[in-house]
Amino acid sequence: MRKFAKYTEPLAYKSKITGTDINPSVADVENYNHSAVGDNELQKLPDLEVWKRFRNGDEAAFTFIYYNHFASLCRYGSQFIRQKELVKDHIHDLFIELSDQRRKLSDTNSIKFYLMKSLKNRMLAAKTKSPAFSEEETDFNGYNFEITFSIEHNIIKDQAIEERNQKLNAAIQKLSKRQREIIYYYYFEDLSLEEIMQLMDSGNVKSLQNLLYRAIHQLREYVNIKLAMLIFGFYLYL
Amino acid sequence: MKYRNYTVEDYIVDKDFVRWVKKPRASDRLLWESWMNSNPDHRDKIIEARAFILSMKAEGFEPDTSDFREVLDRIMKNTRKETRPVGYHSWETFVRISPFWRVAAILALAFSVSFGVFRSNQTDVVTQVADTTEDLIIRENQPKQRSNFNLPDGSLVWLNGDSKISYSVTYGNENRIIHLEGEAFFQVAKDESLPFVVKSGSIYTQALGTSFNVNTRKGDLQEIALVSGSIRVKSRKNEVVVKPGEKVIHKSDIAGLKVSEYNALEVLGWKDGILHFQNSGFHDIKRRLEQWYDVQIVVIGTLDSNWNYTGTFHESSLERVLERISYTKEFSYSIKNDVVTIKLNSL
Repeated sequence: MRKFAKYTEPLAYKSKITGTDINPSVADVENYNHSAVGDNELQKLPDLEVWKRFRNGDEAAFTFIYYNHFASLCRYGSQFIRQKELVKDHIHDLFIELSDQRRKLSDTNSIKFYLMKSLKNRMLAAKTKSPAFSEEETDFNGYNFEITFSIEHNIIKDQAIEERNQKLNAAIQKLSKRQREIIYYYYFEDLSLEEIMQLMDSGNVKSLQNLLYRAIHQLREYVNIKLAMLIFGFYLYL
Repeated sequence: MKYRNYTVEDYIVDKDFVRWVKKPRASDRLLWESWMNSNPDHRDKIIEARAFILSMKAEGFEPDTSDFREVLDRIMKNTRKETRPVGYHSWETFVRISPFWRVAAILALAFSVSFGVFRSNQTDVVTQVADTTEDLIIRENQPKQRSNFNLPDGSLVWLNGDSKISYSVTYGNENRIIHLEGEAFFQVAKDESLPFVVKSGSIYTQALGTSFNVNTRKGDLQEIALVSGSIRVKSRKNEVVVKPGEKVIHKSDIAGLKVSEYNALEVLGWKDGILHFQNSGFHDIKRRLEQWYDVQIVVIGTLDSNWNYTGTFHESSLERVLERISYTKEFSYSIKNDVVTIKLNSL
């Protein structure tokens, strides 16, 4: 991409957002090639409205939904089935079904939750139906929410941190599947406890809170190393 | 404050705390910083909890763009399989029986929308015409209207105003040939087996995985600018291979194909609503303003032969553009309906 700069005069940069006229920087121009993203009408709408449009046959909304959720569904799906190709097949089937059934679908305030729920049901159903699916492609003969601990920092490769990560990674294997699952939803999917409750077929929010708290507590019990403030102070102001 | 008796674990599981760590907003930052400052004994706990959350990673399948496109293509193809259109000659049948094209068309629209290129309220026209020989997909923009969409093979197109592309329904399967009138920018999906060809007038531009801009509306000449990859441009008599950062100008077959460097902002800015002039002569500016704003410009007076202007406009009104140019170039202008009269002061 750098070579692009050669053909562009660096221009005085004024204002990218507010001005009616601007002098974009070279970097802006370099981005032309790849950045096709901007604000748009659908992005500003609440999920409920996007979903409604999709159900009313608005295909722009359909592809918008695909566009926004494909990546997170891939990661989520791979928690149930390890093979990438199978995960993609399931996501494909899910979208085909959504498209076919659009008029029968119910309202939702969270498209992400709706898709995750549908994908989970679909994958678990497929697994019980076809025994060939199960053992090989999955670990723990069920699904596996895999969380790891690492600190991505190039400057500090401290022995104590390495040790801490190793301990945590060992500790997390000792958690129950449900404990790992709630950690996944809570920290990586930004779902509310009410949504997590439905995804996990749990009775109430309180018991989920306890499940989460115990999981975190358990992890921290294994690790008695206090993270030195000196090392992690920088995190706060990134 | 409820945080008074918080332990590290309490922080780690607190929804607001997690949000601050994962997706910080200015107001969150203010809250937590002032909380830490007024409660130094909590500082270490907060740092500890924050580091804990940040060091957690979820493992799993991280798709790349080829996964993204492959699944999308399959979704499109599989809806087609179920009800293959037999003959579609009107908009009505198009809407009723061909889910694949519906998806394709809307997909194109969706991309235009999601990429924010639609600056006007109109939607661009997607029509399917029963040609005598084969079915063509035509996409056309009115003047002042710009759009952005992808083709069945995943290639992306930015279509400028008053421009039109067409391609066969077999595009992506049997060929990748695009007919262009006007101006478009292409970002071509890689496919070694099917060359991507843009036919504009008598010029053929062939590409593998690449991105380039074709402009046929520069008066009597055509200009093809390459951004990345490589392209081969063919006229009736000549053929050149172009490197990134170079453009090809074709005026006539006799003059041949001329290769030179270009200013990226000037050539590609239109995709992002940017109108850029780089030492542009008056006639060039006049022609571009006429196209961009769909107006007619009438000039009174004679021109200084050294007249040239450099400037950048982003989503600006015609008045704004004229105001700014006239400020430095000292002319007066008036706009009436779609006619602009420019009175040069160099008399």
